[in-house]
Amino acid sequence: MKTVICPECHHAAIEEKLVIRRERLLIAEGKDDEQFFDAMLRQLGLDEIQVLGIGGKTRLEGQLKALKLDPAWRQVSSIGIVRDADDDPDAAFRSVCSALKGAKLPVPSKPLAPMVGPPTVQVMIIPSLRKEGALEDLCLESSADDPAMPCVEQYFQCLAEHGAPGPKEKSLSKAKTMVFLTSKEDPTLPLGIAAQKCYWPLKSSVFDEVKRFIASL
Amino acid sequence: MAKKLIDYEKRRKKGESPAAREKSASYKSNADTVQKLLRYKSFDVQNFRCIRKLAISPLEQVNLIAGMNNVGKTTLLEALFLHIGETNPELALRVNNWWGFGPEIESPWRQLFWQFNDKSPIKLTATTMLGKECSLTITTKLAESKVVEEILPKKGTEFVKSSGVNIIFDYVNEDGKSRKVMGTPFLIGQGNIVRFELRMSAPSPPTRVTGIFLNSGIKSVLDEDVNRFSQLRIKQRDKLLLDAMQLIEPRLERLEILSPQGTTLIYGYLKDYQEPVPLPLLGDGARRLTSLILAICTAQGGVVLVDEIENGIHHSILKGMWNAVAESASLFNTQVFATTHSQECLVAAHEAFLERDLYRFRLHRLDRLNGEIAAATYDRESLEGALSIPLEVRG
Repeated sequence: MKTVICPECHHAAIEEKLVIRRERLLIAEGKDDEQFFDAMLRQLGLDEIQVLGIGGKTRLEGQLKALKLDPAWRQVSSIGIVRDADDDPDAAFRSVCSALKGAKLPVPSKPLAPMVGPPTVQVMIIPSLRKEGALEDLCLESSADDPAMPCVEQYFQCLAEHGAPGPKEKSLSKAKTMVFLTSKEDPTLPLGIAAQKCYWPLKSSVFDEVKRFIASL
Repeated sequence: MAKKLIDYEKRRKKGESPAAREKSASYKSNADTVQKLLRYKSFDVQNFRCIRKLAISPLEQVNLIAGMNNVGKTTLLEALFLHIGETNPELALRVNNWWGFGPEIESPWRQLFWQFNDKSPIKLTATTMLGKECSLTITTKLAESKVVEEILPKKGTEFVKSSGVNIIFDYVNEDGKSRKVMGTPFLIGQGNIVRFELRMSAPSPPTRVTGIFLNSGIKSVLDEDVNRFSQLRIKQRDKLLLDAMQLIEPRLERLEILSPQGTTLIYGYLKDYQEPVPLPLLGDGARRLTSLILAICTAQGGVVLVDEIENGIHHSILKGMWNAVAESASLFNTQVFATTHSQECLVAAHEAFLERDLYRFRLHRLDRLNGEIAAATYDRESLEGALSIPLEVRG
């Protein structure tokens, strides 16, 4: 049993076992993403979809195999997997497909194209198959008009001007996200809980493709 | 007949049942025919106790069985025990004794059968590591109830009466050869005691594979442990046990068989102690671990069945225990089947096997789904995945 920090009270808590409760599952990368997509599902009014923040790029195949062995798996009719593109969207998609194949699950031919099962399987690469990046990039794009955003940009410029090393290029979006969220009333929240606190404008059209993907599960 | 089965009651009180669940049971193989390869690659159970149908596969050198209460974990071990014994109806009596079932003379075997229906044969089928199949079919046949011997001279047998239902063990080995042995229950009256006895249609041949069953209770049978330790000493592998015991008692320096007051026991020499200490005095965990390691080493080429393996063992040494199990099972080519309810125990097993060159471990979770019992088998990757999520793997 793992001990984790409760996102609500910030105290140590015993991690509960995951229980499959729904026929439609959205598999996201980790707890933070799970909380984000939970907020989005609530916003869409789709409570018949369960988000599993089981994440971990390297463990996906084993985790899918483990899910298949769960007694409740028999009720699952559809799964969607959301994966960050990082620095290679094609490689991210291929990696998910490889895990699906290893777990003997249906393998889609391309992102957003469902492969009929059971269960039916769909994969979405974020921000898109044509763009590098991650969920943080979508969130920042959705908040481009936020009054705090120029300050965020200035902060990183200032770091560069003063010779501070700053974050590596591939971590820049994550760093900007953290800085941006410090501009909010509660400045300590991670991306997922920030979504639940409506710190991200989930109604933004930036998230339209994500919403279509989720609704199609 | 007013006489009661007093003798059987006496045996029960002596600790054969139900208290005998704490005892171990074993039967020895013919040393010349010890299997060089692990016995079971897969195992199917039909119509045995709470299991109507169950297939479990693939099996590894060490197999841990998890699941809710009353889902068939111990039943699976018992099924394996009967199968290892091939044509030994006496084992049916023994597994019933563990549960406290006395010989109901009219229907002594019904508890063995799914829904007590002895019209549907029990079928236990294994596939060996060589891919060959061997099966044991257990059926019953109504016995002719008659007195076969009458009153004999004083203090002798007064009557012998066949009664109730015969049990038939029909074993087909991996070469397709069949052997059938029938056990007939007899009541033997002597004085005011009526005793139950199972007489075989043919003597049971030595089993080809050693099977040892360690029940869930902590206390072991001390003289069995002494015998097994002697065998280990002869093979000069007794350091395995010492290493394992040092997990529980780091001050332990040496183990020896001694009988200073007539009772032969394994004694431990502890650092700074003037006298050796009988191993049972080192606590229940020490006894349990001793029995476990000795059983695995003794059942060379065979199978050890352990109910609730974590009983008596402190959580901090569970991984060490599994290391010892893995090491001894590998060294003696013994296949191990154990049950558990403990998350700590199964995580410790997984971690212990991760550190070995070969991950020769499987977790099998039994579930009751729509009234049927089903097995889900976790290999290294799926167990790692399940623990990382974390999913419930104990059932």
